Amino acid sequence: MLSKSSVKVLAAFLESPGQELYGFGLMRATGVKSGSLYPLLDRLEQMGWIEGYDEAIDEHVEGRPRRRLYRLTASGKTAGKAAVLEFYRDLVPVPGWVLAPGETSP
Amino acid sequence: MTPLLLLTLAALLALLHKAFELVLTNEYATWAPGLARLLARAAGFICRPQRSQWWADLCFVQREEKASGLLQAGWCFLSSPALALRHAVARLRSPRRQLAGAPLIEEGAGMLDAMGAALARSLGSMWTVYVTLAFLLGWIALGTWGPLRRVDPYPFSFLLFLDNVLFTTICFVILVGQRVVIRAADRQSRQAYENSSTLFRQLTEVQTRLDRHDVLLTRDHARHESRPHPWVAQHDVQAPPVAADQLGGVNGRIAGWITVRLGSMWALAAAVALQLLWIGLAQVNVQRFDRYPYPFMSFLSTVFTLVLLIVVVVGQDVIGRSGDRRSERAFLNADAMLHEVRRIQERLADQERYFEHLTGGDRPTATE
Repeated sequence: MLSKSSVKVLAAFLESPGQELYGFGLMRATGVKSGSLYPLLDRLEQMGWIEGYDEAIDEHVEGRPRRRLYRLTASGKTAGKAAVLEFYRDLVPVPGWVLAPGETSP
Repeated sequence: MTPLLLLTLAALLALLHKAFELVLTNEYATWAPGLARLLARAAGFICRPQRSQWWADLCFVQREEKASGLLQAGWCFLSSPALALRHAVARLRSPRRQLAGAPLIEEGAGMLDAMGAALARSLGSMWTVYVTLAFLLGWIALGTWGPLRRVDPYPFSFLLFLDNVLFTTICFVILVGQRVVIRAADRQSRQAYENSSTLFRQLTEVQTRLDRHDVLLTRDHARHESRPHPWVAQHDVQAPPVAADQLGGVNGRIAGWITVRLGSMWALAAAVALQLLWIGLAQVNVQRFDRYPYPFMSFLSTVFTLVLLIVVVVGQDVIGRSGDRRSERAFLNADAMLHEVRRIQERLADQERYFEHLTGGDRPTATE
């Protein structure tokens, strides 16, 4: 069973599966504090649900260092969706973005 | 309080409020990014593994999104000690710090074990030797010619007492380290046993497939006669060697019991607490039997240290003997694997010769 913070972070990834997210952006989007967020990202990365990689930019051209970006993996999309569904099952109606088109809340 | 004073205070408060309002709201864009950078720097200083990530994120937020990032930087600063501790524990448990294949601290081991290993590791450095030497020589010099001459003159009773107490404590630390090493060696042995079992299974499977190829090729099961290494069969019925195997007999069991009990962080904490309590009680005159420079505690520490040192020697002997057993096993495993690989190579060479015979010595080329 996932924690509330994990669900928030996974939800941020699942809302836009192809998007690259970064630590500060996730903190702002989910409200999860850094003390929980970074260990959580490490755990999700170890589980293979997300992949982390360095931003592909020229630091001299951009004038800023490379960020560490995170992206949802294919297995993370499936497993994450199932885990979020399980979390929401007994609480509230499942959010629309979790369900596939035509699927209804249990 | 006069009305004038009250009025002045009210005016001051109003001014302060206005000033805060100006600084906090109107000038937010000026000071917030600077403060955010300061907090991110401080957070990165406390938790070094996250430093580059936090700094890169903040730079992006400030340059590209034109935001201060103050809130995020603030959270990073607040969580940095906890994250630093988490990273430190993870590093201790990391498989990179290996004792030839098995981590010193296994995944899921207790915090006390991790602390014991860290303590033993930090004490076992040349820096500790230098610091101790400098402290001793400094104390002796100050006690002979300097201000400590009145407090602790020759023969440096307090220094001797401190030496005895620290010596006892270090003996406990050695025992803790020894226990951690023994447990890690046992895990390493079990891991090596499982690894070699898997390899032997795979090698046996390859032999079986080669047998099948022989049958398919010639309808003759015995194209190539060779026997597996005898250790392959023995390996499965012999348990991996662990330190406890070396503790045979009553004396061995007593030695094992003492090593395990005394080599725990609890024993170390109890020894330190007892010594501090004894000194504390003497200082507040609760116990008047053993006052400064605590000769009885020094005597007790010396006697106990002697016993502990013998226990340490017993532990070293056990580590040495179980190391020998592991070494023997490693040799037997390597020898058997080499034998099996040679057998496979011989059989493959035999099959190659047979293929050449079937094709009349004409090897097919890549273009064909």
